Amino acid sequence: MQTKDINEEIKWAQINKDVLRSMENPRKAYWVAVGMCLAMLACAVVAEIYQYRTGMGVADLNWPNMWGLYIATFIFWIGMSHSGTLLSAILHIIHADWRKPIYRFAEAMTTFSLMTAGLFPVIHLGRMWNMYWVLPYVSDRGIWPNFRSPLVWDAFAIFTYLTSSALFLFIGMIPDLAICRDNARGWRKKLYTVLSLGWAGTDRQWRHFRKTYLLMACFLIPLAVSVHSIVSSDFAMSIMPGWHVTTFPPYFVAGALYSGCAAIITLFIILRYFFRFEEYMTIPIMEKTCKLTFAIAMVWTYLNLIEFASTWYGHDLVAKEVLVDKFVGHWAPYFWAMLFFGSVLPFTLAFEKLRRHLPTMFVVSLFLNVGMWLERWMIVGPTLSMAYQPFAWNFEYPSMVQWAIVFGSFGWFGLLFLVFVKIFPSVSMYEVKEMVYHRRRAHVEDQAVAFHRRAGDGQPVTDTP
Amino acid sequence: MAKWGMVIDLEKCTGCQACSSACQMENTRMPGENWQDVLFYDEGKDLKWFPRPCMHCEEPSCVTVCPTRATYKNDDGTVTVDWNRCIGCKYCMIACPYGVRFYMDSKPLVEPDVRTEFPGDGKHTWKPPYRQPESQEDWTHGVGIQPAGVVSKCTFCYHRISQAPDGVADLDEDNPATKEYTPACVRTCPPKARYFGDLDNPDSKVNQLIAEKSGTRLLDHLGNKPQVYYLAGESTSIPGARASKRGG
Repeated sequence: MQTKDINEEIKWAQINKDVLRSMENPRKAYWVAVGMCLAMLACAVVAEIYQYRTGMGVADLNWPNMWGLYIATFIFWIGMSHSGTLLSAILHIIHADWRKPIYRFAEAMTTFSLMTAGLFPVIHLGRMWNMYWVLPYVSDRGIWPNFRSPLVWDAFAIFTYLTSSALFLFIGMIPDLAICRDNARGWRKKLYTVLSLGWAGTDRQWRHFRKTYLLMACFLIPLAVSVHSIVSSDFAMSIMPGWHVTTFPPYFVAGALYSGCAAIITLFIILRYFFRFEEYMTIPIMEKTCKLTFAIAMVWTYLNLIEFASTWYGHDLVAKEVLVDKFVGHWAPYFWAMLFFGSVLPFTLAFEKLRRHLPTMFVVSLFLNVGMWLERWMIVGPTLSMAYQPFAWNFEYPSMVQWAIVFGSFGWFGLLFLVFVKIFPSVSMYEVKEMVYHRRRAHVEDQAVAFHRRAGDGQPVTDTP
Repeated sequence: MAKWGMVIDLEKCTGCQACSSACQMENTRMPGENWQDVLFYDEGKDLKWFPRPCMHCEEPSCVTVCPTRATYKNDDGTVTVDWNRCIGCKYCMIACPYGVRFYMDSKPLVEPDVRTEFPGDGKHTWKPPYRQPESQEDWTHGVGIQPAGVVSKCTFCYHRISQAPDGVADLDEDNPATKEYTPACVRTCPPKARYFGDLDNPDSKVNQLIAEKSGTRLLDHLGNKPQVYYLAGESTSIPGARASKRGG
């Protein structure tokens, strides 16, 4: 049974070779995946064109269910983006080096899920061609955004997070892009030459690189937390029953990390299988990711429970009615499914045998995300369908147009990701090398300590800090 | 400047829905788009009804959440939508606890869809032959037939009340001087259950009624401070008022 995070005997040239190989000659399975993603995206594009030409009515958007699946899926994708920052920034700062082989694709996932999330507020607008009116620019129209509106905060938060995470992804890739540059020919050579910004691996460059990377990581952590808090403000700042809850920001952030970690497990297994990354995406790293996911799942469950408790004992009759309806009313099937997938299913992550069995983890991680998507729908749907006035109660099942656009968003995300893994290294070569180096050295030092202890001459003198 | 407000006497209201019809004719609303809705509900064995216009709140939550400042408060206390600025995000509809905002690009509430019978020309969502002349439209205050993809709401007949002479305490159709400036629902109400006037003027009828008959506001505990007051009596009640006392 493999117990080490990474094979310490692996040669550095081998790392380069393995990772660069993953970027060459797409196999048949790759094209099949691209085709599937394009087909999914086509569904969304057709649905969107239909909705654009005929009006929002075809989406069955009807008062009071005015946000429908669009905003629920928007929260889902924003949430997905958080785990990349967790792996690349938070775990970087706390020196958890097991993240190194898997953070790159997680960071890419952050950027692409934000690019997907950003589409939804635009899709749901009645006049999407005027969406830039929420940005502060001086024009003769005299339109200036209302800074008290959480929707404007959203626009700022998403733009900031998208640019920062894309920049962070790019900065972290520079040394790897230089490796690609040195090994590529043709258009790739030109591309990597430009993107690697003249990286030569000098001492000075490394020092600056480390500092920049650390600064960006420090900047990104509060940003990531604030982005989902702001998304939660869209709801928590309103006076609607079921939304006006103080625990919403931490609840959203926990949910975000949860769904993101589940998605990392899914992509981990896919990449490991298709790119034969068994040497890098190892079972012990998988186990650590699963444990992290389990911990976050429990935090999410806890926050869920206290939300129910505070609503129940708070005795706000309308909010209570919404809660009761979630448990036993129209929404009950979806709500219980959410609770099962979100709070019960993660217990499979607590068993070592299951954690090490990749097919099981693949299926579990997919269902965890189904649960997390349902959670977002359970936030948006019930409150809208059961607002303050009983005459306004209206349960409406979303139309095919909404479902098609939601379905297609997965294709769009998949397509971006597939293009990424063939153009950029999805495993960080230089950081895996660092990890191997440090692990090997730690191993040698451990052996030295053990040797000296056996010989009875005390601790050896080492230069480790 | 007046601060317009409305008083609805539930004891007088017969639930005839003439206000709904008058409003639809005056403002060319689509079927189902009831700016002046009369809501029917069961209370024990009795059928009750409840007229519900836009509350034109003093602290409107719809204005706070609008990202482009398309929904705003006028100096006379009314809340209107500027259709030139609205981007159709529908946040105001979600923020409004009274459910008085409408999005006319949505699924038609009544079939067949009249928009297919009287299709719009790109500028307007639809063009029925009985619409008011375009010269009377005022998109900055949400008056007329709106373009596609925006939110609409009761304006207190802004095109009428904004013409009223300064200093009038009440707009009443029985007074020939103010008849033309009275909102359509108030003019039409057969049992005269609606009163419209200046809430800042202590001599206005609306203020007297609120004081004498202890006017109550809908969902007052939410803090929106509506400018529409209800007068309830022996046989009538205001929905949610009991709940608000217990919950709030």
